[in-house]
Amino acid sequence: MATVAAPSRSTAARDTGVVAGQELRDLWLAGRGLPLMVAFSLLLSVITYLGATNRSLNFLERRETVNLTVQVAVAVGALLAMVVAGDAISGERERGTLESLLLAPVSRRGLAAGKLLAALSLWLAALVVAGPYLWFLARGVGAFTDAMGAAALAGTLVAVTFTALGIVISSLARSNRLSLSVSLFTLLALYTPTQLPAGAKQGWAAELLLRVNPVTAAEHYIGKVVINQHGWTQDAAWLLSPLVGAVALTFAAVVVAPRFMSLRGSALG
Amino acid sequence: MTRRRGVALALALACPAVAGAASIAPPAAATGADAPPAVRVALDHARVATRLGAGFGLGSTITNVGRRPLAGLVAHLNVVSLTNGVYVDPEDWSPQRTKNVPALAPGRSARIGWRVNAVNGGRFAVYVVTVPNGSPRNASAGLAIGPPLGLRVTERRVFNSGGVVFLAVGLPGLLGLATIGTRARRRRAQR
Repeated sequence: MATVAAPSRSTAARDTGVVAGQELRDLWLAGRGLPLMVAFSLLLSVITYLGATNRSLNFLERRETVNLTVQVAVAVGALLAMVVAGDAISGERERGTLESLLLAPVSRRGLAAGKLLAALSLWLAALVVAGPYLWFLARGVGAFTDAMGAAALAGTLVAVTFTALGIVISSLARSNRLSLSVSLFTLLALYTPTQLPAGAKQGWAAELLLRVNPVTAAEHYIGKVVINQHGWTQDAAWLLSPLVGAVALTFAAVVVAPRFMSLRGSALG
Repeated sequence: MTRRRGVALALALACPAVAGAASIAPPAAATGADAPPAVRVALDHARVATRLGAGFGLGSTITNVGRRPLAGLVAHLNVVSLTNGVYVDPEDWSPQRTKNVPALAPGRSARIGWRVNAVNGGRFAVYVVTVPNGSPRNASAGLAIGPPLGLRVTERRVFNSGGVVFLAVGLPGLLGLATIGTRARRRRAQR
């Protein structure tokens, strides 16, 4: 295992900035950033069109349509960021460019943090792209601020959680395919409880599961703010698991995973 | 069948009034004689046409047409669908559907305002009813129902509802153009 010298804070910040800048250029000027956003906006276009022209919708169900759009934006935005993060280290390893990266005069923490920030830019872009759609759907029911605020708050925590998880898995996985498979499986497994029928979500055990799972907890929070018009702080306790997930996995991605960053991968595969 | 049950069944068959007396109370109107209600309810409008999602104000006038002062009346707004297959959840239609009516001297009126939101498309009847709260001071009031307001809520189903097509096509189009432009610029720079 390669030893990692702990860089000073200013060095780590500089390294992070350098890596993030390069990764952002690669992602948005030459890479998949813009095409992914085109696909994302097409998906939201379909949902928005169906929501705006559906005659059978009760007027009050518009808030539920807004909520659905927020949920889709958060899920797909986090998925996009996680896919890019899942490719961040294992992809370099598979393309044979990780060696030169590891030999570059940047700390491994800076490398991981820079790649994490670059991948997170996809979530931020997704949030910006979702804005006009949410405004269109929410303008009649005055839910735009609620929708954007809930998406920015809960969605960012979910996106950070999954992006950091992608970096951790990518650092450990021996192949890019394995990294992406494990990342996607984890994301789908955490999203599965959102599809449970309402009856299965009753009881203390179910509520505990919903609260512990960052995805279901964030979904619950967004629904309460957008549909039920609760205040921002009324259901803030539901954001605990997304917050803990985001902080813990970011720590794991930036501090722990770089110790296992090697040319062949280590723990997975 | 036990003997006690058999006796009860025989009593019920022989005397239905005895059998139902335990669970069914006679209606209140029957006890207050058959006099017409001492309250009259009127609405500001007879017909309203609006569109889905719009709200409008509705005024009702509640008049004591009896000879005694009245207090403790409760006014209630209700919405009924006249279009087959359209479900109405009255709570969605008005934020406050039950209001207390101030005390009314004989011949005096009180105006009660309502806020109505058109949350479904179709034809509906909106009406106001006053109910005595059971106090002895309004025993003569009875149940008073106002005339129905005919409400028509239009909904339009159009291809480009609210300009959604411009957004649904425009934003992906703009992003697509940005993608093509960025790639073309990069290709030129590489040459």
